[in-house]
Amino acid sequence: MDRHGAQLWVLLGGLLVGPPAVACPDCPTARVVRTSVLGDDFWTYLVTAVVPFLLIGALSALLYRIGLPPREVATPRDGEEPGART
Amino acid sequence: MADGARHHGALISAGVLLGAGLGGFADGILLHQILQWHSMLSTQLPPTELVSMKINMFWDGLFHAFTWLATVLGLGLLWRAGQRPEVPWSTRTLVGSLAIGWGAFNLVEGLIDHHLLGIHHVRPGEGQLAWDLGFLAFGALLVGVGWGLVRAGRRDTRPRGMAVGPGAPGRLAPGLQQVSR
Repeated sequence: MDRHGAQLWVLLGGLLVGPPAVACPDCPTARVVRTSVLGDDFWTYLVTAVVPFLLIGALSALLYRIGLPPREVATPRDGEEPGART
Repeated sequence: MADGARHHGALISAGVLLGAGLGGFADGILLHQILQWHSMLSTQLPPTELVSMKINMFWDGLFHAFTWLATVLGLGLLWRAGQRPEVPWSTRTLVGSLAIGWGAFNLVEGLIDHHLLGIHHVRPGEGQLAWDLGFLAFGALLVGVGWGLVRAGRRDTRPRGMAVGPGAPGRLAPGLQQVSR
């Protein structure tokens, strides 16, 4: 990465992190929130939030398999990266 | 293969992920943010003061992050499906699978979070069961409508890029057939 690219990333990072840090530095409220969020129940709540998405992902994969053409109709391109053959 | 496109699954799986993602955004924007209902931990930690609101906001943000991920994955799969000549480019199949994705997400999320674990409800307070059941019913309706559309779309076999309309011969031009193979 050239020098200008690095400066751009530093600027973008500063813009992203700066305003929240100024709005709420390490204040008592932020500390309480961080402690609560990262408490004992963190993993339980994380799993609870992720499970519906995992189930939808599994459903999506299942429907992909169900929609595959029968073997005799399948083309050599099935399972091949698109654009691999030109 | 161009006039016998049969791999509907590629389009359906992309649509289901995209539908779950876009449905999650609709949920997050309308229910969480505009109406201030349906916060992730609202039963455990009612968002009635600053700290509990910020904690709920964190978990809502994580929900939005996963929603964004599902949308990106769905978009990637849709892009990939569009490059394959054996995938029929059917509007009915795509719209139907979007509806299935949104509805299935509502059903899964509603059954687990509202009814099984009870960590939050659509609209906490009086009549919350009715709102939760309405949420499930809306999800089931979306899945039903989506399923009907996907079934109707099974008749569509036109791959992406083939001409549409009364003047269309139903086949690709010779040059395009070469490209599609």
